[in-house]
Amino acid sequence: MNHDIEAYLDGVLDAEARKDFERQMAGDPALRQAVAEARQVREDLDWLAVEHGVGQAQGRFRAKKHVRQRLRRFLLLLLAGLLLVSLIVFRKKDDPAPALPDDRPALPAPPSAPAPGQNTLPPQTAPKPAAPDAGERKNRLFAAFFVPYKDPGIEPSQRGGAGMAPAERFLDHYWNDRYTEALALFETLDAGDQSNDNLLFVKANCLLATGRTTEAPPLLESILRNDRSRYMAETRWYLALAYLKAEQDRKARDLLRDIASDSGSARREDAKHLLQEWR
Amino acid sequence: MIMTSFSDKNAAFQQGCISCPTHSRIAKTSRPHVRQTLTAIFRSFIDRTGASVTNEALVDGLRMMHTAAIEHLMKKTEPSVRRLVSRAGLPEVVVPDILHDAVVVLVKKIRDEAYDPTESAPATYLIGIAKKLISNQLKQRKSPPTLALDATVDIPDEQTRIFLEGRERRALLQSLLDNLGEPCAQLIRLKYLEGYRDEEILQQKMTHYNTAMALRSKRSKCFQRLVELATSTKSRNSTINEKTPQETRKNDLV
Repeated sequence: MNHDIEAYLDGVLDAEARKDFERQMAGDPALRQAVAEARQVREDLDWLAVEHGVGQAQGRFRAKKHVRQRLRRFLLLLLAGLLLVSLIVFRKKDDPAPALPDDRPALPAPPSAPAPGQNTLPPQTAPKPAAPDAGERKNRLFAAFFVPYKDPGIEPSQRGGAGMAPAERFLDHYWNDRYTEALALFETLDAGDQSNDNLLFVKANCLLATGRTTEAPPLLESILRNDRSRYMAETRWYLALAYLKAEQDRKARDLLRDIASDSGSARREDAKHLLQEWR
Repeated sequence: MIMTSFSDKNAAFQQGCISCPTHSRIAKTSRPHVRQTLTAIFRSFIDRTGASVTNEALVDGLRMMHTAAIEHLMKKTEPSVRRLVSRAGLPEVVVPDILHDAVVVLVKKIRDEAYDPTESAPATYLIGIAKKLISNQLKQRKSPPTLALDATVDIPDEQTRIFLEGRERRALLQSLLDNLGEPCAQLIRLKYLEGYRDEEILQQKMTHYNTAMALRSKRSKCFQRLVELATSTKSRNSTINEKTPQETRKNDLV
């Protein structure tokens, strides 16, 4: 009988056996009850099978989810770390160059071509400073490219001495970088010396060297107009620097371009370099 | 009463049988080669990079109790279930239980051929089941149901009701099965819980029975024993609950 109930419920009885079993059920309430109870247990076992299978799958699902979460967390940390490193590296690149002991900021001063028959002056080189804003940048450019002009023609014939003519003494002050004294002395020169374009050129250099840059352009423009100084080529260059310092950008650039395009100019390369730095 | 977990016994069995498949489920109406074909079909639809799985393939996979199909369904529906639990004001710890129970109800419905795919997609149906389960939890906690029925499918209560009502009975059955003793527990488990056919059990030598006749004969006796235990335990429980203290004393004297 036991065998028959399970076999009956499994549907594996042949037709005759099934009919026989069903006949027995029809006449036996106890058998009917037993079959109903067996059916219920089978149903419950099927529920248990499903619960067990789903439970196992859920276990795997949660384990995978946990791994995914940990991986996501790790990747986020990695990304944050990379971002931090990038920021640090980026900031280091932006840091300005360390300050130099010399007051004069350093740009690689272009070698100046010597005038014919004149001795060359030692070039001055220095590292390029950073210009945080436009005005400061122009100041730095000026400082980098402005070197008070000196040549043997300006060098005093004698050093010091009470016997020096005022103009000589003016040049002596200039030659020895005593620009303020030179400017003060210039005012005591006679009219003839004060209208000497060569001396005016030196005076303009003194003005530029002492920060009285707004006073230099009119002098240098006058020299150019007069066209009688032997420092004509240099005058254009220093005028361009004066315009730069005085923030007369357009005039400065125009003049620098003229100088840069002038194949005969001794300051051609200097002008090109300055224009490049100023870009 | 010694409680041995079903999973421990199952694991022990699996370890002792090298040739045994690790997981096997058969639908009531499918044959082995059909099962393999459906598994292959389902796997062909599953793309690990996340391509969509057709509802048809998913239903077939769920019918076969394929782990990948169940995982796929859980992955798809867990966020929605989590939202429902949160909106109901229930703690987040109940999310796995609600999800588990909802999947069980849906899979059982599919296996019983009671699921109509034209009504709604499996995931949508599952969300509807989850809402019923959450409402039941709220009732148990004597909280007013805050979960409003929205546009999700309003599923019939029958399957969920059967699931909820039979929970205690199934827990009892599990306990009885664990304590049935060997080889009865193994024979019942192999057929009813693991879904092995007799031919597979014999072929893979999962038991010491060499013929189908001997296997079925022993298993039938074990099954009948289980039924009797379940019935007697159930009636004993219900009898105790119904008797008055005076009636209990009277019976004791007899």
